Amino acid sequence: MKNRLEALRKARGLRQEELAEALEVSRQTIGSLENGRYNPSILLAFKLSRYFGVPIEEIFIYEEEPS
Amino acid sequence: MKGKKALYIAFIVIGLCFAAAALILWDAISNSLGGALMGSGSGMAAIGLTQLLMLRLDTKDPAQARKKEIEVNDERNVAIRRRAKALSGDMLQWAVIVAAWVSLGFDAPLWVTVVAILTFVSKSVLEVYLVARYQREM
Repeated sequence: MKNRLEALRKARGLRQEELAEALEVSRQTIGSLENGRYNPSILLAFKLSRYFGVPIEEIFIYEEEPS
Repeated sequence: MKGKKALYIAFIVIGLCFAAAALILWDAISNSLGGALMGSGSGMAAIGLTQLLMLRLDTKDPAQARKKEIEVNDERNVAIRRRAKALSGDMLQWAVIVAAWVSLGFDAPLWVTVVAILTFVSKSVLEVYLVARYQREM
């Protein structure tokens, strides 16, 4: 799943460590989310959504795989 | 925090009691029992002491303790640990069945093969039980 996490974070001038601290997750989790290697739980997705003040759909882009 | 401290102190005390009992009763008890008492006692005392020292470090540096807590509870780390545990459990289960076959080839005592097969079956049964339980819970 693609996401705009890195862009949102950089737009607010935050470092990965700072975002991780605010969300109470590890810095590695933020890195993995930004790289698209890890899909967050619904709880973390909501936390991110509330933190940035944007709907989840504006952070995570779900694209259906072509059948 | 207080509960943990009490638990670790209890570990140290019980461990030292076991080790002392092993030394005091050395001539009165069998070597295997003495060894078991000494081994488990010193192990418990060492675990208790280490955990107590870690707890002390955490109290001295709350920021570091918070960071450690976040690392432990981090959802990605939890998922990684669970996946690693599940995979290593599966691999160990198959290694046990391979060991059972190898033991047959080496004319090992029957109990070795039986224990290996029982371990394999027990793990499979436990897995089925846990799947059914989680199906009900989730």
